[in-house]
Amino acid sequence: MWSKVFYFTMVPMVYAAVAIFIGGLIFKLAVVLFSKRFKGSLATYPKRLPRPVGVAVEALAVPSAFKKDKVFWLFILAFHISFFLLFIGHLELIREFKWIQLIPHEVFLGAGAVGIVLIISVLYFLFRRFRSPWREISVPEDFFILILLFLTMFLGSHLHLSARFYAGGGAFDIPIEAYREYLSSLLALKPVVPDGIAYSPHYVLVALHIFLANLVLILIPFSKVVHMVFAFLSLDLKRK
Amino acid sequence: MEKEKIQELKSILKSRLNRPLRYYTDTCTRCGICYDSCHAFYGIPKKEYSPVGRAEVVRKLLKKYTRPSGFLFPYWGDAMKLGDAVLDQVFEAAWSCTGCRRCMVNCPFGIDTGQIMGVAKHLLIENGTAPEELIMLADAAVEKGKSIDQFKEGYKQVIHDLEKEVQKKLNLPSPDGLIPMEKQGADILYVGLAGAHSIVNPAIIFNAAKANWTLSFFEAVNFGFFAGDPDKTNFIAQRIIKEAMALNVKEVVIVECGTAFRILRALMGKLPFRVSSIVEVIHRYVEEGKVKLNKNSVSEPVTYHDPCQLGRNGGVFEEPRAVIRKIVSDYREMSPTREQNWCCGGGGGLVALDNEDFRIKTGKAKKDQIVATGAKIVVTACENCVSQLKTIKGGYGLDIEVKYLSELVCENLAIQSSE
Amino acid sequence: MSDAIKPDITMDLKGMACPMPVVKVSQQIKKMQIGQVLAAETTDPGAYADFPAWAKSTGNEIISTDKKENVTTFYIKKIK
Ligand code: SF4
Ligand code: SF4
Repeated sequence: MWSKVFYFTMVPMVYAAVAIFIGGLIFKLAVVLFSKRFKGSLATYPKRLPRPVGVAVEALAVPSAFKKDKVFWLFILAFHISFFLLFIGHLELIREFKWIQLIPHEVFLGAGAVGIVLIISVLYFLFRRFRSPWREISVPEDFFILILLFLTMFLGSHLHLSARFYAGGGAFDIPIEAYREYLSSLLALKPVVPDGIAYSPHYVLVALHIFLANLVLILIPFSKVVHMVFAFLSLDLKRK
Repeated sequence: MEKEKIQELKSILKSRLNRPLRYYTDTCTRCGICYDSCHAFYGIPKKEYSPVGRAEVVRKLLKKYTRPSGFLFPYWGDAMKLGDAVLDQVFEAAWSCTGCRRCMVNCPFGIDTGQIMGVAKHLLIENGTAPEELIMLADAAVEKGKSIDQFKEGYKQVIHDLEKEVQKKLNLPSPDGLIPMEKQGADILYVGLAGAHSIVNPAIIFNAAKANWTLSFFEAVNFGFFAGDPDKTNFIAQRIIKEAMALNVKEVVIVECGTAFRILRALMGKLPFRVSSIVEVIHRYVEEGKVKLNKNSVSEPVTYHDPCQLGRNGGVFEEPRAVIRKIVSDYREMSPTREQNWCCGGGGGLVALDNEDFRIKTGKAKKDQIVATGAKIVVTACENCVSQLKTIKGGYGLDIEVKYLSELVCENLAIQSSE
Repeated sequence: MSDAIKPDITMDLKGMACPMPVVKVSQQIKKMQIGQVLAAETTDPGAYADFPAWAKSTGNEIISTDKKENVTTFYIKKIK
């Protein structure tokens, strides 16, 4: 029974989640494309930098947060940079990429620091919302997403760190190659859950991690996390 | 609430969901960075007056009625159902916001809470709870547009009387034609307001610069916009656009009124003429040497209040300062300034409402700023701001004088003899 | 002509900033009884178009205007 559930999470649900993620983003953008434009200009002044540069700086360096709250800004940047590194790190779990090895390292990128930084930032974001006035402006969505991210990242980090530090010790026995086999088989549309994972006593943790990550993917287009795309569009309006 | 009304309100919510609104509904992360960027919040620190606090009221309605997620899982985003209590919240949110957009420059996503409040105002009109003063003013402006021909003669008469004031000031031989009206092919169509000062001072400046101009029959301000009615906004603005096109002018110059300026410059799409603020025109004349000012003729400390719609939302920051610095020897900048300048608290039609206590309280940020400069004269370039700054002055007993930029310029004009 | 008109209330709106004159007048009119007359004194040239347009759209009547120097008095009768 459980192996079926695990398999479902590890294979069909991953495909579904990715499809919803991509389809959802396309859908969101299409809806925007087909809705009325604003006839005038929503610009604010002064427009100090050329439009694309200005948008990029505001979106990526978040100067407005820097001005308001330096600690918050630090966590925002730490979180978003780490999130990007996390994405690259997962690519390495598919296969070896030369360009990622530009700075030679052992998989994964950052030797576990990325996961730790993410977890700390997410906890900061979460605890921040327990305090006034952020508590009053928060809605369930805000907490739910943060908790979901925390759990996903916590499990992921755990899988990674234990594999890294107990490798060969036998306590934690899922080798990097097993993940690579699994993910590249998914990509090649010939999905297998390799024995290295399936017979590991920690299969449940892997499946749980994948399950939560699927939820994150599904939610991205339909929650405030779309700001990863919309931020650029709405900031662009400010400079039109 | 009755079913039909809810239906109507729903259709307004749907109709307002254009591209920007979609971004603004989906993107806000409730990060709270904008929380204290609103002057209303500065004066009365409660959540309802923070930008995100007020925007959320509308966003929760938008979620409920325009988003599948809000329909399926209202709990997820705390989506709210329409109802009288909610509409009271909508009222409080909309009619405490001046649309200054200070929050927008402080939001990491550039979310325009002023736009969102536009939806709120629209809902209130449909609900019949919009401030009746503004609705009435908008209706009168529409009526004036429809039957302008009836009023033309009387108006021309009084304008003719004003020509004498211009003549006196500039020492000219005759008052005739100093305030031209319906002048075909003029370079400039100047759009003023109801008050004499909004016509006489600019007329002095235009005449001093020997400009080829003509005065509009209409007032620049747009009460349809203040009230939040898109159709009336458009009608009222079109009155001026049509007049400008009929006279075939090259440039429409707007009186010191922030909203009027922004509507014509930024919100009406592409127009076949240039739109400028009188402030820009004064600056142009001064730079070109067409208008000469008495240097350093004011020695009292002076500060300038950036009207939000002219500065942050219109990009006119340097022109007024350059003009003031020519006249004034002790110019003091407010802090924070330019795009971070605090709103006076009178914009968005709020000065027209019976809410003086509220405006004195929410004008606290402005008061603190003015006091910190130590200035004795506060110059600004917006009728709304002047009214509100006077309210602040009265409310806090400030020892200041509030002046229009055009007024300051006219008082310190270097006048050549008529020959 | 205005000598014949006895206003019930007289308001001084001289030199007020936009849009106060019309707002003040309509607030006052609301408090008055049908048939009463309000005299509004203003220096605004715009009032020549704004008051009649306002009266037309609100259904009140301007029964007379009287101009002395640069002050104009509008006599407004409350109709409804
Ligand atoms: S700063 Fe922007 S994203 Fe953050 S709460 Fe305010 S409006 Fe929302
Ligand atoms: S637009 Fe101005 S008044 Fe409105 S919420 Fe933003 S800061 Fe406050």
